[in-house]
Amino acid sequence: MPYVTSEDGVEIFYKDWGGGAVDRLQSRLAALER
Amino acid sequence: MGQSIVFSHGWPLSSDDWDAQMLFFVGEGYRVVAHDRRGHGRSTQVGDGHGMDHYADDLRAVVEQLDLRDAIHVGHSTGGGEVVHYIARHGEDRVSKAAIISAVPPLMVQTDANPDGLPKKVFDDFQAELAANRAGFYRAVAAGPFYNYDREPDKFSESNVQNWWRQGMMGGAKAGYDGIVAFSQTDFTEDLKKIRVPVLVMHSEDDQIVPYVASGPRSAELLPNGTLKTYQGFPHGMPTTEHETINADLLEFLRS
Repeated sequence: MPYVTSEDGVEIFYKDWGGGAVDRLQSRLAALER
Repeated sequence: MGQSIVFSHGWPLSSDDWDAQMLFFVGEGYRVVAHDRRGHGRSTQVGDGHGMDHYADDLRAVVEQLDLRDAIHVGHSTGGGEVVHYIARHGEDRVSKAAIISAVPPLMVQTDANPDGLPKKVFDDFQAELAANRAGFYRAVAAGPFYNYDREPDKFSESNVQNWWRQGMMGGAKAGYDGIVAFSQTDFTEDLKKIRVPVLVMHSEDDQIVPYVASGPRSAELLPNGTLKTYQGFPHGMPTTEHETINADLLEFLRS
């Protein structure tokens, strides 16, 4: 889902266009590593 | 990972307000990211945290979640304040440059140190009008000074007005109400002084929402690496109505 959870638990909607599958997967991986 | 542009929208809108920029810049090969501020658009209609610290922290959460590096931040109006506060508060490690358009810094409200600002009563009245009839107030802003349709009725666009109203009403009343204080009474003076990356300040002398004299030129002066781009005849909502000019000027700045 295109949401980020803020430090105080708020769901922030975002759009992310143009990076393609590689950028999306790299972002996902970076998020999981954190 | 490609060069990213991160857009921060104005009060009380949503990321949809960047349609003309996101379509253009994705076509130019950039990765374009835009979020809905808390309480706005499709984000949670939370009842608290509608201040610049949380706005900046939420933007940081988006940047970290997507692991964006060397990002270019573009903010319109309140979003310009969000960008300035984000960079000053969280540092420049993930930022390459920024542009603020019709933006609220350094400070909208009139004070002894900011005599060219607008009296606090203006913003108190905004809150009273929102509380009394939010739908009517939003309609009046969009159909009047936001796009300068009150001055130039021949340019009136019902679709632009409806799109503005739609975005505003998607958000929560509390976010809209509290956001008026956030955009009008946050002093960004010290934030602006801290920012070292290049910042393009784009402002129209005919902006009726964030008057030029107390905003664009002063921000550009306070920024160590700021450049002022002044427009004549453009409204506050110039990213929508004048998107061809704004996009071309942004692209030139991004490539510089």
